[in-house]
Parts: sequence; structure tokens; C-alpha cells
Amino acid sequence: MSGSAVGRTHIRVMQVSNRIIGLMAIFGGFAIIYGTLEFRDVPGQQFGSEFFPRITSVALVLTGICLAATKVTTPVVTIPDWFKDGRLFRAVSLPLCGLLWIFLAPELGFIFTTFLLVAVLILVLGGRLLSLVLVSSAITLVLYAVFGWLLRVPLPVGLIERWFI
Amino acid sequence: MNILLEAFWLVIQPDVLLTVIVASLLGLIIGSIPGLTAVMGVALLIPITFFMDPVPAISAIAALAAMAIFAGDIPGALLRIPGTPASAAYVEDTFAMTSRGRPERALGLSMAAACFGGVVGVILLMVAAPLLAAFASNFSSVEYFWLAFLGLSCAAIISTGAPLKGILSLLFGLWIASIGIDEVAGQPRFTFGVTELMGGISFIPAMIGMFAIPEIIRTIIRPVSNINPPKMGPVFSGLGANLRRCRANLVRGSLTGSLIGALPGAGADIASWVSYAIAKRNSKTPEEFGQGHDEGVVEAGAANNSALSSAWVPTLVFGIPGDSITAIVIGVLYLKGLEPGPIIFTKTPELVYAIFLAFLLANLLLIPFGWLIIRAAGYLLKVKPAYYVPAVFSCCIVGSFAINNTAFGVLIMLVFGLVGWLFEENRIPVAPAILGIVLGGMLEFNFVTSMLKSDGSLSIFFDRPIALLLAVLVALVWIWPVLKLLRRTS
Repeated sequence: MSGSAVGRTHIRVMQVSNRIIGLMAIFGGFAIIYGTLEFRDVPGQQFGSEFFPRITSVALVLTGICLAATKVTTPVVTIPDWFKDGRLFRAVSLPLCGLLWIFLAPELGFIFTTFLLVAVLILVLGGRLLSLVLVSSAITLVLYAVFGWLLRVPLPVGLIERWFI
Repeated sequence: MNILLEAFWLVIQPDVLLTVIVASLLGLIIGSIPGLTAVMGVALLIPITFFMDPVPAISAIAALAAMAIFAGDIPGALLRIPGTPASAAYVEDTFAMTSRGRPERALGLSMAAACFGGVVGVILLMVAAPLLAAFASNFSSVEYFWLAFLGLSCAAIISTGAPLKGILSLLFGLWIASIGIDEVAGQPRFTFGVTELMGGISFIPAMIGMFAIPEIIRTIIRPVSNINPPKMGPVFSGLGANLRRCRANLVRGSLTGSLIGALPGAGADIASWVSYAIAKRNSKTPEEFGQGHDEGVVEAGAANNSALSSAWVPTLVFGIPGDSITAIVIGVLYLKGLEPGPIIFTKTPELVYAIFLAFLLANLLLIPFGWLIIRAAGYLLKVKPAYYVPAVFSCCIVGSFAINNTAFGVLIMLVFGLVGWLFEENRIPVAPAILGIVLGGMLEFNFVTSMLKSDGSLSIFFDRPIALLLAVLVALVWIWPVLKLLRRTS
């Protein structure tokens, strides 16, 4: 049921101890209760909007207490080995490229931004320059054809799209 | 009979057939690339199915999952890297066959076993689902509350190694489900003044993020090495004789997988490991397991795909997912306006049977398409992560964007991706959170409706015999880890 654990065995993972996770859950539970305080009552209704979230938050606090109370066998925080080499840069570049896409796509359009995103990621992950151009173009065009043309999703329009639409 | 004919007509429509073929090919490619799993493939497919009619949409998911689960055996056999977690049970055996220069034997056996197991699972699905649906047709909001609670409990407690972390993940999902305007009271909940959150957290970007991004991150931090897949001989040579010798394993694996798959919260991974253990225990030569034994590969391979099919039984009948893939399916069914449950069998039976037939078709296609992918495996495995990772990531982005045509979906995907990665690093399972997001609304609705009906009395949850039975089952699921803990400490 869980996601893949395959390929993870040789890599030290980014872990925090159960005690910290438990404390975070307790904090989260109380934060949810605090968030429900401003919910207004519905006249004539016994159970309002706050009813179910409060049950969830109580369960969260209880789970947090159980987790925090478990025997601590791991350090408070474990920093993975790959944090100390180039792989950290590769991992961080992924969400950064995603964020850049969010900001740039409305201005530059889908085709240019996606081409740029794929090209940068290929470069960061160690791909070859010639393949970079071919693969980035192919991926961008296939995605544009499937989503923009076939499924008629209004993808962000920019210079290139304006030129051929 | 008329319904079956109508369903058959729905399936043989060119758009459905084309969708099944394309999804099958995608599933084979995704499954055969180490690090890309069937669940992730299905997650990436959802934004495309969003724009389709229900039958091609659900058929595409079924086809992709069936193919990807089989294709996960390919990198396992050739490189000793299981493509999907379900292939891990017998990876030592398939790789041992490859080491002896017979990769085609390993892959031929697993392909045929997957096809047979898948067909048995679909037959069980076709027989059991309507019977259970007829039984469940008198359920009220109370029973639905217990069913949803049972499904969530199974996913959080039984199917994870750490029940507390499973519960934590589930509660996170339930909280996420409560974000947005409460439809009954019109009260915005946890929106922090953000307009985009008024409609709630969109399930698809959240799911893409939680299932796909952790896989991508794991792939890019894994050290890259040059891959030289071995040469492949004729796949069908001697396959019939080998299968005849292992026919008991084939049947037993299919039945075991079907039974385990039909349990809420179990799934192909568990079915595969259990079947492998059963095969070893009943073998005359258990010492050869792990060194290239046919029996383990056939039994666990059949269990894989049969579990995948039968996991749809609780999904379609009760709206309780059998595994991570069907958790996604439930979300898709809701998106298509088809509430999973017994009513779907009376309201749109032709649609349900069309899904069954599409599943059957996908499993039968395993043989020709499986043969193709085995022949092409050498080329696929040589593709470097530097090229397929950006492709997968850009699919995540455009898929998340396409749901509401807004970049906010992409942001949701990234945030949930990070959360999913942190969860998995700390061995907090992701699937219960996704289930919480999907079923949270239904759980709250049925709970509050029942409480309103009873004027606030909790006795309504135990008045009817089936409700009481379901309550006892839920209690057992929750007591089980406590008993296990007590036994361990004593």
C-alpha cells in the first residue's frame, strides 16, 4: 500500500525522531482546534463546521502523544549523506524549477517555459548538450500536443504561442 | 445478458480501444524504468483521464496499472532492481535466471503468470462484486460511515508497518479534506484568506505530488551507473512446458492474490510476498528459492496481477480502496460523478461491466505487449534518468495545471510533493493521507448526517446488525496493533 521503498536501502534518509514528529502532531492538533474557534454556529443545527475538524485534531493530539512517548532509538535529526555532495543541488533544483515555471509561464508562455525547465533539468542531471535540445523540444511539443491541442487545456500563452495561433 | 452486450459495445468503441492500447504502452514503459512505479504512472495519467468519458478513463487506469505491475519485473530480472515494490518478492529468482544467461525464461514466466493471475482476478471481480453490491444495497449513512472508517483504518493500521505513523498520515489527509467552504454551513475552513483554497485542496495535484515527487527525488539522488542489459533469447521457447510444471503454483498464486487483493488496504505488494512465502513452504525444493526457482516467480507473479484486479471489488462495491491505485480510482470516480458503492451497480451496471471487460482486455493484452516490451527492454533500460526525470516532472507540472487551468495547482503539487517526500523519508506512509483526502468528505458527511438523524445520540451507529458488525470489525482493526504490542512486550 505504501509507496516504493525500492532503491532506498543504500541511501541514508532524512529523518527526524518520533519524538519530534509526535510534538509536531500535538502542535498541529492544537493549531487546528485554534483554527476552528472562529467558525460561526449555524442556527438550529447541532453540529457545525467545527465538529469534524475538532474530532480530527483531538485524534491528532492523542497520536502525537503516543508517538512522542515511544522509545527514542534514532538521533533527533539524521542528515542524509547526499546532502553533502552535488546530489543536494540536483534535488533542490527540482522544486526550484517548478517554482520558476509557476512565475515564468504566465509571462513567457507554456512552450518556452517548459522547454527551459526540461533543458535546465537535463543539464543539472548531467545530460548531453545535443540530446538536451532534442529531448527538451520533443517533450515540450508532445505535452503541448496532448494537453493544449488534443485536450484543449488553455495552457499559458506567450511569444511562441502568439506567433502560431 | 443485455447489460453485458451493452458493456461489450462500450468497450469496443475505437476511443476506448485506442485509450487502452496507449495506456498499456505507457504502463509498460513506466513499469520497466527503475524508480517509476505503477502508482506513479496512474497518478500521472489522471490529469488526462480528467477530460475523458468514464469508460475510457477507468479502462486506461486499469490497463496502465496491469501493464506497469508486470513490467516492474523487467528491471528486476535484468538489473536486480525491482521496477515496482510488487516485483521485489521474487527479484532474486528472476535475476538468478538472468545470471545463468536465461533472462527470457524469467520474463516469459512472469508475463504468462501475470496474464493468468490478472484474468482470474477479473473473473473473481465479475462474480463477487455484483453479489456483494446486492447485499450492500440496503446500507444507510451509518453503514457507509463505518465502511469508510473501516477502509481508512485498514489503510492506516494494517497495511503499514507502523500503525501510529499510518494514523498520523490519515489524520493529515482528513484535515486536508476539511479545507475549503463547508457546504452545509457555508463556512470557509482553514483557507487563510486564500481564494484558491475556498474550493478545497484539489485531489489530483495533491496526489500527483505525494506519489510522483518522492519517486523523482529518490531517482535523482541515486548514484548513476552505466547499464548493460543482457541479450534476450526467444521468450516463448519452452514457456508452455515450464508453465505446465508450475500449474499448481499458477492457480494457487492467482487465488491467493485475488483473496488478498480484495481485502481493503492490502494490494499487490502484500499479495506478492505472501504468495512467494506460500510457494516456498509448499515446494519440494525450498532451498532453491532465491536462486532462480520457477515456482516462486510463477506463484508471486500471478498473485501480483490477480490482486490488482480483485482490489477493485471493495473499491466498486463499498467505495473502500483495495490499494493505492484504487484509492486514486475512487477519486476519479467521484470526479466523474460516479459515486462508488452498490448504487453504481443498479444505476449504471453497463458501465461497471464495461470496466470489468476493459480490465480483462488489458490482462489479455499482456501477452503481445509484454513480448514487445521484453524485446525492447534492453533499449529502455539504457535511458538515463537525466532524460526521463525532466519528462516525468514536466508531466507532473502540466497535469497539475490542467485540472483547474491555474498555476495554483502546480504549487499544490510541489508542496504536497515535499510533504510526501518528508513522509516517506520518515517512514510515514503516503497512501492513508491520500485516502483521507478522498474519503474525508464522505466520512464527515455520513457521520454528521447520522448524528443529526439520531439527535446527537451515538447509539445510531450500533442499532442495525450490519452497522454493529462493521463497528466490531473496526474495533478489531484498532485493537490488533495494541494486542501485538502487548504480546511483544510480554
